Amino acid sequence: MVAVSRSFAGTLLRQYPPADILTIRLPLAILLALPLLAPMLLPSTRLLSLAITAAIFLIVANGLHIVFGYTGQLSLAHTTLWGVGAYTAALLAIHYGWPTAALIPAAGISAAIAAVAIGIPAFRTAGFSFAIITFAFAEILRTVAINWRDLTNGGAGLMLRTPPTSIGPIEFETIRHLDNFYYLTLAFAYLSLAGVFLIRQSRLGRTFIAIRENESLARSLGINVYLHKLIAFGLSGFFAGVAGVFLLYNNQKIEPGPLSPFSAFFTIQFLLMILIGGRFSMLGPTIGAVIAVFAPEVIRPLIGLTPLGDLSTARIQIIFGSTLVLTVLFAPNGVAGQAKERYGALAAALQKFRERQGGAAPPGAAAGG
Amino acid sequence: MLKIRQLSSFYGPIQALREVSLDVDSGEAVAVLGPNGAGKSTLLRTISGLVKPRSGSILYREHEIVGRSTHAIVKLGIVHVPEGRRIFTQMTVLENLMMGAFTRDNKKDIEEHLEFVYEFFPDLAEKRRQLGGELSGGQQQMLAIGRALMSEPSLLLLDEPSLGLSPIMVEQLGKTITAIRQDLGMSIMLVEQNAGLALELTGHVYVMQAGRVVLSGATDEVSIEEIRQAYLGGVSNS
Amino acid sequence: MSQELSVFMQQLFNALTISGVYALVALGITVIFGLTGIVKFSIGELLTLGAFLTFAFWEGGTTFFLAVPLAAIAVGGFSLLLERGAFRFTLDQPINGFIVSLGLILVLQNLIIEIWGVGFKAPIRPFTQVWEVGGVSMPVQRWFVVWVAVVIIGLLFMVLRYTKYGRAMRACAEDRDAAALMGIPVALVIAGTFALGGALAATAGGLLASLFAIQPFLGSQYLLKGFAVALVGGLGNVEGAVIAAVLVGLTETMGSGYLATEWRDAYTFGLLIAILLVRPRGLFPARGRLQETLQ
Repeated sequence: MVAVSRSFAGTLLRQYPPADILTIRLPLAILLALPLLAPMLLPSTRLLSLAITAAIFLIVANGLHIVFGYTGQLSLAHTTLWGVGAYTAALLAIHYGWPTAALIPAAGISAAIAAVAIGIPAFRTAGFSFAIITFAFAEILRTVAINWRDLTNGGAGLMLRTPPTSIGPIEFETIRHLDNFYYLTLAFAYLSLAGVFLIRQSRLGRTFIAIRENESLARSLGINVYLHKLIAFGLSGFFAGVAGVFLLYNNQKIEPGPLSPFSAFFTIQFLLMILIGGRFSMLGPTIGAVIAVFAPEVIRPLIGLTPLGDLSTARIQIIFGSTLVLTVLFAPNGVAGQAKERYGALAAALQKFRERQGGAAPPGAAAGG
Repeated sequence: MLKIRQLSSFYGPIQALREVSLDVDSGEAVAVLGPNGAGKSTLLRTISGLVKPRSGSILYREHEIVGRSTHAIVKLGIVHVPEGRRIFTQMTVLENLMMGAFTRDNKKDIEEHLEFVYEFFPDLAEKRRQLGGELSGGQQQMLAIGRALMSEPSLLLLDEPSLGLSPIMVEQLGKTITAIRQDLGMSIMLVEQNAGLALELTGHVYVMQAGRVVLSGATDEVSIEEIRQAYLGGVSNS
Repeated sequence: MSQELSVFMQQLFNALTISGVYALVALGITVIFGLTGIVKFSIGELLTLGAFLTFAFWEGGTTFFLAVPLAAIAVGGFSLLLERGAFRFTLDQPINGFIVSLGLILVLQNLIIEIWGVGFKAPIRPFTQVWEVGGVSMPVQRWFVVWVAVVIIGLLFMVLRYTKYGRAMRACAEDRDAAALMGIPVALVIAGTFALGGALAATAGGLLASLFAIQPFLGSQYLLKGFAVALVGGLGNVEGAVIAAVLVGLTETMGSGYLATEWRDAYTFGLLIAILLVRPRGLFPARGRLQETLQ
């Protein structure tokens, strides 16, 4: 007797038999390849800029996913690490003229170091205490960015006029070669996705999840919980730092203001992305980032037709916040979680159907539940 | 007084009660025995409304109480002393007892009940200003029962009251429970691991196993051997 | 009075005012956490709402002394509705309640912007006199804020200690199931506590509207300080919150008085980190089933 349990849905992507490539893998592959066509499909430069923003957000969100989604630690300093990466890149580019290829690892490493430095004291606590200590560090770093004027130029921030270093004839200047810059950013977005995928598949990823599921059990199995949390935080910082380079190039500046990586606004925004996308799913942050960037674009014209009229930024935020509340109340596993459940039910139905048809299911396909 | 029919409850995804039926008559003491995880505590938690049953009915004095909230059930006169006593450790003994009288409004009435409980448990009177957390295990159990008596229930649900008590304290607990039934005329439903104590104090016994009632009968008609059998295997007759 | 002493007294007086406001916010956070395990971040926006409602009532001709309680009642009622509509569904998983509150921050902050715009509103000044004692200048308005805070905190303590509702709240905070078994309508007590938390935050907001110019982003900074205070005092512990409020108020004003002003937030958060590292559950950890499982 072959049992198909609900947990089957959770491991669907890994365990699904190759025969079902048409139902799962192909649609997923098409979906993942779609952004490659964005410059051809999107009708305006503005929308392409939004796609760039989405790609940058995606890198940041994938980083947060490692520490929050996988390891279950609510870090409120993540976007600050994004800012740390951007400041590192700005300083190295402005004062020493480092090329992009050197800025990316440098920014990633400096944000990772900052993450570990925060994590060393912060992971001595857990739960809300951990969350608020990371928040306190984020606030202190923001104060530093505003007040250490010799280094950071204070509230005005640092400007960077040079575009990313050209690769042979390919230029990345954002006015004339926006599509090139888009592909550059997208490449790193894919890399970040591959990164979270590989981590999830590895022993390290399984350890992170064991810590999220049951910390004391993990500890009793001989896992060094403190060290692994630090590793998760460091890795998440690396992602954020790399994204900082692209933020810097995209905005051509970095400053510590109310709409910068140092703001509480972004801290909340990124948590929302992961939650709306699905905190227990590998594609959760990706879905969340795309929704966060493009949903207002979709909602705006739709609402425009109703008596509510034109949508101000404030109204979009209200809709976004309400969406979060409703998501948590009605679909706590996010969009990806919902999709998986639906797909899981579909797969189970298919399996049953096949059993009835052929009598024998493929051996070991889903045996044991 | 209490008629439970075909009651099924879940504890998370696990079915903890499977179509349990059980009766408690007025003024009667009933024991519910069974191994760990048999569903005894879930049964009490379902009666007091802390757990919502999936199906079945609980009639208390001809009222259906399934679906009512815990505080409404307390008001009807069913009081549950939970496993592990669960006294308020940060409140004084007196405050704990006052919490037991939460459903009462008449000041004089409350005073009278307080006097009564202090008479019943002189230790509590002595320690009335101490924090609940500072009492010994036996005193905490007395406080938990005294707190329940403050609302003058008609039916008292006791979950493992002897757990963690010294033999002397267990003996005293036995006397207390007998006194509550005989002198106060309350009905009692006693969940116990200590089968000897339970059989001594009650007139009717139910044995549960894996969420079902596998044996029931008058205490003096059921032999220890039968109970042991029911614990181990689940012989189903009554 | 010597120059140094009067500067010191001035700082002490300023610390007292700000501590009062922090204490009100922190109490709102701590009572809600104590009962539900939910860290309600949106309480900062309830503070802002309280400030703007106070301003609106005052602008509509109501005296300031009536405007603040009116705003507190309105926001308390609103907070009750939020509990009934959203938070009560998250009681099994407090982290979801926390996330709901994050979403509400966006909703409430932008609602306030929609209604009142992003600009500043000048402070209401019901008292204009300033007392000068030995070189220390003490605006009567600030004394008023201090006293209102002290009276409200005193009242809250009396209610918690001596009234049936207060005892029920403490019982629910320690052990929700056991409280239900006493016949306490737990759902009602929790809803009432959300109302209380909202009203406390709104009062703080109303008082702030008499001290400083207010704007829609007012809430976040006080939320953070209030939360820091609640955490330092031990989440769920009301006495701890008051002591921590004074501690944080002192650190902040003394720090910015004697060291560099622009680093004032860093002093508070530095103190917070230091205390939590030594005592991860705050200076005076609350003891209850929820607190022990959550932290």
